[in-house]
Amino acid sequence: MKKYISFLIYICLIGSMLAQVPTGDLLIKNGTVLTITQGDLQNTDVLIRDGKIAQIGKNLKTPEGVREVDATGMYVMPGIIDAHSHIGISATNESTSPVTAEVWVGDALDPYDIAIYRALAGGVTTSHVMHGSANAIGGQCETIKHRWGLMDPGQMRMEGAPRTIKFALGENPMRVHGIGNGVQPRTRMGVEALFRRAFAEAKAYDEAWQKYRTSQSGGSKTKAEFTPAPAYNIRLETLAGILRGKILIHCHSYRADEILMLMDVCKDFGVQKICFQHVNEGFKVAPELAAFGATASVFSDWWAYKFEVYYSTAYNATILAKNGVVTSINSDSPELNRHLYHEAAKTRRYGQLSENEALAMITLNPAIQLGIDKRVGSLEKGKEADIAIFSAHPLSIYAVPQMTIVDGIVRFDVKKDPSDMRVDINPEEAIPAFQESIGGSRQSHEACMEGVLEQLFLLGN
Amino acid sequence: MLTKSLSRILLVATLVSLWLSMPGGIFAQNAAELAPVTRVLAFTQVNVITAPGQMIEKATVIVRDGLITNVGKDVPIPADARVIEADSLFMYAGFIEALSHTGVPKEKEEQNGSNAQGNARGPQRGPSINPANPPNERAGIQPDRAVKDMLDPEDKSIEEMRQLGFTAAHIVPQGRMLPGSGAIILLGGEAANDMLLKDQSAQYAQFAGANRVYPATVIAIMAKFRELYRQAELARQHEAAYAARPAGMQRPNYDPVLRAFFPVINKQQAIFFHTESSLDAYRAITLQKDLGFPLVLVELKTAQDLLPAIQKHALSVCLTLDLPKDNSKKEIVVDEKLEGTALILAKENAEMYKRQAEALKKHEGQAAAVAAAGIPFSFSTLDMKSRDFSANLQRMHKAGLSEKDLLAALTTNPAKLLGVDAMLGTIEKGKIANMVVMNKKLLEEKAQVRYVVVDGKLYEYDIKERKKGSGGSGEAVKAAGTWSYFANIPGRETEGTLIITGEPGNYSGTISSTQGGGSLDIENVVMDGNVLSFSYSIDGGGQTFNITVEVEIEGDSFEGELTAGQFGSFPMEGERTGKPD
Amino acid sequence: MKINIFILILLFSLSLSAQEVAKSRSGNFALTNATIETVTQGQIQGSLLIRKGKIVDLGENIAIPDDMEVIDCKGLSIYPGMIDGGTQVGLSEVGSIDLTQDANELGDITPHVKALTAVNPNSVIIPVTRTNGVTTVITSPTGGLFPGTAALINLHGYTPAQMYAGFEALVMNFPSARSRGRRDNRSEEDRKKDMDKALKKLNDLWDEAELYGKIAQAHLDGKAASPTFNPEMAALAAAVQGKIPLMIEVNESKDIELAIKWVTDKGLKAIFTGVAEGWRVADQLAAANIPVVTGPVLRTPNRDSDRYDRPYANAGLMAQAGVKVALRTNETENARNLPFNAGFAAAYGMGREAALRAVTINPAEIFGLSEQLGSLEKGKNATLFVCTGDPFEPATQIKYLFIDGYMVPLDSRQIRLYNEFLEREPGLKE
Repeated sequence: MKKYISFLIYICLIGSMLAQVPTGDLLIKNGTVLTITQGDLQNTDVLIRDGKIAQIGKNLKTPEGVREVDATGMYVMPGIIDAHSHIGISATNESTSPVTAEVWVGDALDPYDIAIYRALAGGVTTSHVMHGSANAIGGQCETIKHRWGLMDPGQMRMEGAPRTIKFALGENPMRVHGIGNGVQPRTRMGVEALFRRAFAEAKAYDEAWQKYRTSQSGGSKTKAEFTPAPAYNIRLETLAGILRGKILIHCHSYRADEILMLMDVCKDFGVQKICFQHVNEGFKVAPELAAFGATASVFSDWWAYKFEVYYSTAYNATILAKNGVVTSINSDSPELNRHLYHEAAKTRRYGQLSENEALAMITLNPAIQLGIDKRVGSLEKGKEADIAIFSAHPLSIYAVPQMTIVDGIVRFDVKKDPSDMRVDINPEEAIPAFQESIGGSRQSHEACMEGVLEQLFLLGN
Repeated sequence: MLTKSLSRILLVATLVSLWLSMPGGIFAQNAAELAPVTRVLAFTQVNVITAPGQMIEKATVIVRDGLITNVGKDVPIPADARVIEADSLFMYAGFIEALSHTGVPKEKEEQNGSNAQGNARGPQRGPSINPANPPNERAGIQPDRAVKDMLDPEDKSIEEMRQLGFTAAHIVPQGRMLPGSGAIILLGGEAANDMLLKDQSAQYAQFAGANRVYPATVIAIMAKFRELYRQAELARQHEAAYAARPAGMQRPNYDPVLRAFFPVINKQQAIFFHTESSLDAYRAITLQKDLGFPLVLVELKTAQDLLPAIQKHALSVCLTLDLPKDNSKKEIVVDEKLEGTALILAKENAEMYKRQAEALKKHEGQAAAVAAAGIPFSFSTLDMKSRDFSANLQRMHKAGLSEKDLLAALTTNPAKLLGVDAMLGTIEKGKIANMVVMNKKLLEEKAQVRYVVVDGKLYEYDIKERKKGSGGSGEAVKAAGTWSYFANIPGRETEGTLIITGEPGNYSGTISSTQGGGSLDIENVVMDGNVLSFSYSIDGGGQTFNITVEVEIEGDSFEGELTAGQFGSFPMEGERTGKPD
Repeated sequence: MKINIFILILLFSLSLSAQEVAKSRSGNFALTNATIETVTQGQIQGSLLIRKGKIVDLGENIAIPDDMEVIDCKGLSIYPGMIDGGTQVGLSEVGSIDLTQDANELGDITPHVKALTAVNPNSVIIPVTRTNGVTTVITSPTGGLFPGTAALINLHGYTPAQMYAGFEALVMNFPSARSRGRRDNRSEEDRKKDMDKALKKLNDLWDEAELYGKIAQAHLDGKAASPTFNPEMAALAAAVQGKIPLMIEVNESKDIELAIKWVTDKGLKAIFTGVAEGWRVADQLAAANIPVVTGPVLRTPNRDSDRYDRPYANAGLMAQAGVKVALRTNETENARNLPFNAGFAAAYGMGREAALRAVTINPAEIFGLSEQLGSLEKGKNATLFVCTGDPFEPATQIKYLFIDGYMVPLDSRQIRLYNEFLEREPGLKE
């Protein structure tokens, strides 16, 4: 019986059951090291052993057999972390139901997606790969490392990263379910009601199982005492995980009112950790976000692609940060994630944040939001060796990523970068077809709604 | 025996009544089957490959009442035997499809989708069913179905596979996530029950999402699978406890879907998971690790990526017998006279052609690589087109697969995998008389099937020259005329008329459907030997869908496939109803 | 009398608080002590004088007339206003709301509809765009084979006529043999066939337009009756006769080759736009002497096998092959990112100088407006901005902006929201 009861624990173990990932040794010599937490260090070396940062200092000795990388004149920063992405997965949205807490994009990792390599070529080492925003309660997400070249999807996972789940407010769930399918929610009122119902049911479910477990553990278990278990429900099981604080909410949101609404709901159900994604009107309720302890992961400047983002400002990140909200800048796009360092730099124009404040928004702050800040997000001894090296200061428009390192292994090197980096080749087609580029918010923001049209309206007919 | 002859009598009666009610005489051609003179066969002077790698030359094989009763050099020929002089022919154990849909017609898909009439902008009306909670048949969750109830002995695919040398098949229903349980059948017999060797052989699963309802995507299938399995485990315990001591205990619900998992949980059945891509395979392995059921990976295309996982988890595997089309360039020469960007691009393209050729080799070399890793494997034939069978065997052989390993994958390995190695897989005394007799050794050029024996019943085949590509030699097959066709597109069975006019080399025509839409011009109408191909396009509300058709014409009927791009290929057949004017 | 700039700013801000609205105003301005990036004539340390909408003088030691407002630009740089060679600014407001979309008329052949007609001078997007130094944009219809006529507009003015910057072009989406995306199930052969069909249709249409033009001309010469009213043909005939240039959208390399041949065969003056795979056929573009408006630079590669930086490098590769290149964002609300697109092109091989030209003098030349726009020269329009440094660098701040001599306030709804909400009142109080 325990086997079934400990399902939650067991899900957490999946990561560790998979194949070990390779790590490497490296000495990066004589660069300008942007540590994020301990200032910028000139002419400094970074030594990596077994995929971890072993030492940061001047004139470090090269251990025998360790490869040296000369970073003279270059800038060495923590690998960039994208807190909102949909790359490297075969399915984004299960848009058939407004609540799909049980689905998990980690089940659909696709290590052959060329977008992973392209993100590496932009200095990005970690992506928070999310379910789409078609549903008010979408699926669970996965934090991956860009270990391009490994063929086992399990090896993309960042083992031990906290579980997260996608929520979505506003137009997308209203459009898909209320307008598209004629089921609630069709309004922002309905979205709130849905959350309250889902949490209440999860709470009752959890209590029923608690009671059952207690009854099973007490006294001797003979056949005469067999009590049927409560109906097993993987969706409610997952939602109960949120209420227990085991799964962090990352919520697609735009308008100030709905952001306040979700914080109220969370307060009522004792949920403490929440990261608002996009959160274009977060600036309007920055004091409330700060007071709740909620964090924000925003676009640098996307707006006007739909009505709920019409009253946006590119100064959003600055206002949030100045009001004490831990803020990151994300991509939600296979295009933006190629130059998140540039997206962060825009906070220098829109609000004149300091260089370190800007860089923290694509390193330490997203790490905090994903619960992985003890492991990555800054250059410190003992942290994992996920590092990006740039030709110029990464916030300069002229900076070109030179090398991207994951777990001490060089996964992108601009000097050894043949054109064709695919790992999965179609045997019936030599030259891949020309595809429309993705560029700009109007094309890209649909990434969140990937697959929805096909599922709801087009496929099969 | 009594019941069998009784059923035969009934069959005859049915046929007779059918015949009486029909204008034409379909009866005459079946006369031989109706009155078998003997059920004893004697193949003489035949080279018998009794098992992979073992051959007895110029032997005699006796078959009686559906069983192999004797194999050897100095075997007396019974007086009541039909003697087949098989001098210089080669006899193999009948091939076994480790997983297929042979004899299982594609089923109609329900059309009452939530937005069947909707468009991309989204309809304003409510759904007829809630996409979040569809009925099981709509969701494709039907593990409680059994394929034996769907088996159609008249289905053309049975004869199609039989004439390739397949004599037994592990068949599963068509469908989506959980189409139902499988059965092992012999590829011959008048009634479904006659063909059945083993029912409830396995469960079949696919990462095939439901049409616009839950579970539509792979992520939902994974979640749903876990939920069902765990619910089934609880239900099984509940049932067991209730059976032991019902008094005072809440009665378990009778849920046929969950009950269908019980044999899997008891490890009496494996789940055969359709996992073409390596990613699908990894996903199935993840489920297996989560839940602990016996797993067979099916229809693998590039198992090279999976070898460590297969070995680590001791998985059984069925490799595809389908191979990608070979349109790779054999020789790539970069014109060194080019310069600048043009030279760079030419070099890049050359590199890509090389990578394509390597990718093709990887597909062709899959079986050899798996064999080299010492992993026993069988062949599944879900995707294979029957006309590619021998060519694909040749390609795999050329890519390093030995004849012995290949034969094992067609005979002994699937027999073992399916738990029927006591009855099938080799030519031995006491086994079921399933065999194939060829004019040459299996992998030799122009090897063709002469006889197939299924369950002791003899099927004879003429040696025929493959007509495709034979050019002007022989009598040219003519395509012109009016044809009625039927295309088996799930949920969209389409009937209509195809009119082809003109002369060989200059055909044109139109196609129309009884569902309306007017008549459309067909293009690229080409006859290659007896293979007719053409294409046409349908305007689907601003989007153009291109359809290609390739069928083989035999006299006044054709059979083949209609391909609608990424939506897949579907069987198509037709009859000539009118000669050209 | 020289007016002290500080008093002026004081007065200005007073009047701002009085009216709560920042308005543009014309005047005579002297921008002194500046680093002047002329684009065409190098860098000058000195002053730039604006009168009646024009640059009347610039140089190191020039006299400042008494009637000019002096703006001390010490430590600041002056650049010509940046030109975005392709947007939907003014034609589209909120992406997902159809009734705010004016760029895509129904029908495949609507050459007679004009973007300028539907430009909304009060679009919230316009101030957001110009506050990054983008003063002038092509706003273009989208959609079918001939979606309409695009216009070059200044991002300032209260009527489309006031905004019009002196260039229009007939837009054409060149037929394409490429896949239309994931749901396109045509084989390569099918696509080629469709392309042949589309080209035939185009050529037939073109012949018709030519005939229409001849008849119309004959009518003007008194030799024929007036042709039947046919605004589509009339619009096309103008392009056939070279009275209006063509902007031809074409992206895939094979399509570009076909488009070059088509233009050359017809002897047309055309500008190619998009040109995503221009790098593959750069030499042919250069040989055909066809100018190009390419972009966005910030986009994903077109083929899975393409090197990751091809989109960044495309403009530079074409420029190096000798193609005249201008840049565009192909954006609406984020045309403000034009300088950053240029910066990426610069970083990935084009070089800063060429990239700057690609958003200033090159588009001005391509649009036939090199006498008015694209560089800081005596006699040219006073369409320029003053900033703290390299305008491609995100950290740079824009300080002043002039369009046709109007000093345009650096204000937008996004900036107003910033000012309102940075320190919100009330804060957390109930």
